[in-house]
Amino acid sequence: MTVSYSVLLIVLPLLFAFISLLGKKVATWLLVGAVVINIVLALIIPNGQFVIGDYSSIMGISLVLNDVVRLGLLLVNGLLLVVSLVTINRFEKIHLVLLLATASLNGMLLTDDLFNLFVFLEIASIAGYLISSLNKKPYSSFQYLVLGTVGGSFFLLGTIILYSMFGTLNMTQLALDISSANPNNLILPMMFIFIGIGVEAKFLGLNTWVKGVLGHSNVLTGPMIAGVYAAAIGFVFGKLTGLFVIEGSVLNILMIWLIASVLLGDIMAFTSSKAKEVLLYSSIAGASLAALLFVLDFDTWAINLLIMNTVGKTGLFLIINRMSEDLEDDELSSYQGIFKNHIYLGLMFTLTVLSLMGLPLFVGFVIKMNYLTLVASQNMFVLAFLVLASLIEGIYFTKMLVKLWDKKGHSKTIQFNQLTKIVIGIIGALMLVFGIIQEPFVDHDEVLTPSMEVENNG
Amino acid sequence: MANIELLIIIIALSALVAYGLTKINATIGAIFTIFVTMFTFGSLAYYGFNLEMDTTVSFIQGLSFSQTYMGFYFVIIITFIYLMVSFFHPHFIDLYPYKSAYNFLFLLSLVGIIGAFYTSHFLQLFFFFELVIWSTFFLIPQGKKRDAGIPYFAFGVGGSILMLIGVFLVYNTTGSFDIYSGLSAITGSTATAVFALFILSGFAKLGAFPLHTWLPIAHGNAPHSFSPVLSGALVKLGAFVAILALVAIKVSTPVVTAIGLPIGHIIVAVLGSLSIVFGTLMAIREDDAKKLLAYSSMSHGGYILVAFSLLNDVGYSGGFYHILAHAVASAAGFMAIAAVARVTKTTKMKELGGIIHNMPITYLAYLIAIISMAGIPPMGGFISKWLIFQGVIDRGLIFVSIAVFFGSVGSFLYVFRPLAALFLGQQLTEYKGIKEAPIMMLIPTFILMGMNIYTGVFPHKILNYINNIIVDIGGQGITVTDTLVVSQNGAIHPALISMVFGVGVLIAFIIFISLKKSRKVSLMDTYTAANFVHDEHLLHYATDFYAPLERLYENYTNWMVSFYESLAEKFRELGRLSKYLFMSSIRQPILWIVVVLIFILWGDVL
Repeated sequence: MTVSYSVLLIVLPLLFAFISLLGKKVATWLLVGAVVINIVLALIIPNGQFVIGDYSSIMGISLVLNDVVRLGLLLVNGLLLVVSLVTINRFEKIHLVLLLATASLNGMLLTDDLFNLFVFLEIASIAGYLISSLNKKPYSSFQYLVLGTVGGSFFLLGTIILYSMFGTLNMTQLALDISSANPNNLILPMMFIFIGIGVEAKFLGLNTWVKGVLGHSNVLTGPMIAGVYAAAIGFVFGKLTGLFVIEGSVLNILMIWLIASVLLGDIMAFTSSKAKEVLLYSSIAGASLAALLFVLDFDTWAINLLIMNTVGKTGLFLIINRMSEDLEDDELSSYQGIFKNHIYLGLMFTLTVLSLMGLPLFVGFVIKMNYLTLVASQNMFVLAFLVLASLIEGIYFTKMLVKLWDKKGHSKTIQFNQLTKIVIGIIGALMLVFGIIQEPFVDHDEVLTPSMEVENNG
Repeated sequence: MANIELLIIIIALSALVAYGLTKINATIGAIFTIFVTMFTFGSLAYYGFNLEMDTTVSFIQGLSFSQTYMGFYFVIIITFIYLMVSFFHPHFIDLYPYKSAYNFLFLLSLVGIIGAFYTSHFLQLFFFFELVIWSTFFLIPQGKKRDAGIPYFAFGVGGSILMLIGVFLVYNTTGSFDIYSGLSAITGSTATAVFALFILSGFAKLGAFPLHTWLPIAHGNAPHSFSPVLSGALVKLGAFVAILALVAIKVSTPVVTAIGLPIGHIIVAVLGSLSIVFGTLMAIREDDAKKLLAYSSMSHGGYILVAFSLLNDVGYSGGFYHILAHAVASAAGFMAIAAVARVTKTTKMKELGGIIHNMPITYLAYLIAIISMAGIPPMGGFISKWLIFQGVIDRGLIFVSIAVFFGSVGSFLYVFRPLAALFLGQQLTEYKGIKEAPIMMLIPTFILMGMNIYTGVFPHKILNYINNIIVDIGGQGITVTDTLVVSQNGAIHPALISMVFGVGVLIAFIIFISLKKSRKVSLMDTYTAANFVHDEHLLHYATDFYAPLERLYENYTNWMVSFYESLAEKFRELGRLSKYLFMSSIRQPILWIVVVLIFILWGDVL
């Protein structure tokens, strides 16, 4: 098997999407099948570059598969598998959209062409708008649509400027050219591209759509947007930070923007009394923190954080959204004591939350301590803001846990399907296992660092 | 168990076993925790005193252990308190909503305690501190108030992250995460910054003024059998961090020549004094017996801070001794209140009275504990306070010494109140049928009574051990013989003092039994303003006990609580403002994009 098979990761879901139009009864299984095949392909296709149509690497669209992209593919498709299995047969007429999303998200991760990235981003966004429409809050989806379009336009503008400057859209080539260009000339396209991706990446100021979309999300849309999409966009953001040399004033601006995004995200979560709002603002903070680590060039730990955050939030949204469906209320006070009848789910939820808080014995602690050590070696003020944010995060999550476990609350029982229980169990167990056994992180670091270096240096 | 790693693994596995056993039978699970803490205490006591624990690591890669006299001193005291408290579990476990989790987390927090004091690596210290905080955080809501653990968590984690920032400052300067070599290597402004951060961290964890507001909430509302651990053991983590700052860092703040202390240490001494005074005043006006003891812990935390800010060996001795004396006395006090609350279902003093008739041994345990807290012979608190007084006087810190003396007198006022209101006085009818605590609970009660007295009568062995610690941290120790404790201003003979005290008590007892007994009257056998009082509760001794004194400062008691509530409200306001600025309308992202673009396009801005 050669790297050329990587195109199957995009083509197969598209093909399955068309087939799903013909056979609606098998649409669910087509989706699951496509995602499983993707995972298998991501595991067995070797590293390398594949130029579609055999054009020269500068002109043609090329796909690059390296260890970082492979990890991204496994994460995105793994989460997709989880979401599609858990919500199986619950939503109709959405499988085509999910297959479209799969193809475009895989394409975003694989492509080495900036314009092609824009195209996949747009397709993924369209799929995202359609997925969010399942919330049955059209105005929220409309907001997402408008902002996504504005963001896409900025991304395209940035791409155009870079093309006019360097005459290529190939990201590997661009990274090489950019590293020797005058940084002042790159500020505008760089900021355009970061503004463009910032809408999807939920950065402060560009994330108005998140409140409507995730605040009214259900068991499918919540995990899809906060888990699957966040994972793919996070990896793409990491890829884009490798494209540019981020230093001086631009570094400061991005740092301040992302720190504000982390801190205010957590403060907004602290202020919220609705469960989904707490999670969505926490997602904003988490995504911004991973982005900040990419900007500071701590890529390995940014990726680890991204994986933990997206996997964790997928689990949390699955539980909270299922509960809000049954209780028909999203106020935390209405969930009071809900875990007393769901000890197992409560335990797994708690393990996941403790990990997201970065507490010892959980994977979150390992990640937190590693990135904090790196940040401390570079900038103590950034460190101070990050630990303050982690304290605020700790407080709102503990308040949430106390509320959910309070035995004085009501005793309503919620029906969770077996798959949800298994998935949540696996997520909770992973948070604990990787918190105790840390060798994988050392191996992970050794594998990812060369890939990131290649990406960063073109 | 001689190997510290294996000990930690065994306790962690035992925590899981305790979880399973408690699921099957709560009492069996609770009894199991007694055996685990006993095994832990036994292992540490047998091998640890002479630093003979095996610190090699075979299974948990990445961890490293080391042992110091100071670490052992803390860990043995805290483990002792854990052991004592575990005897209460079989009789309390049924009161808790999540029984399995309670026993599991109790033992898991013990893992954190042992790890924290057997490491010389800063990040490991942080790891174990955090482990203790989150595991104990889940224990507190099992008591009276569900959200009482949140302030504990916030201040605990806040303290930890202040320490962490300090740790990274040390690491950036020295390239080392070693606690002792790292702290002694920093100089200049780094040393000052790390000193300030560690002190703040210590204050937050110790519950010292002005970071004390979590103490009464957490201690007062925690499960009855866990409050002794919180007060007697866990706040000592804060003392440990503060001691590291006060003793190990060579601060470069200017030295006040007349006193011979750096300004930083004087500030800590003053804040410690304020802790003593505020803790005492707040305890005096508290009606809830557990909250009263919580404020007492705040006051005693102040003593510890004052002692170590003195930078002299007598102060260090007093400080270390006070850590032990307060741990034992506080645990005994809280456990006595717990024993009462188990049968009366309340800790409010105005709802209690005359419990001595039913629970004389518990009363005696409480009496001995408060004598120790008040610093009166022949209890451990007397020795430690005497040493601290000596240290303060040697330094010539007039105002601090006033606060220290005030704390002692004040503590007698506040500890006397539960004694009078809860144990003594007329017995309320609803408590006529209650019985003394069961034998399982009396075992630790007797041991703690014995410890309170032993530390007051025979302090020399412990003080000699403390001398080892002082030598380790760069001092020389104080002169201690089998009979004398010597300071620069003189010496005391604890055994002799105790004997005199004992003779006094004996004479009083002889008089008591030889005189005619007073006639017992019922509570309702009284008239007020020629009217018969129908409700016996109105005659209760505890109501407005110190009202004239309380009126002097009652308007100023809520300042710090209001401050933190306002701070939290400011965060909420910031959150609401952020939501308005960034999340309320689709127009806003466009505005922010335009603002950013104008900024970028503004000529030479970038």
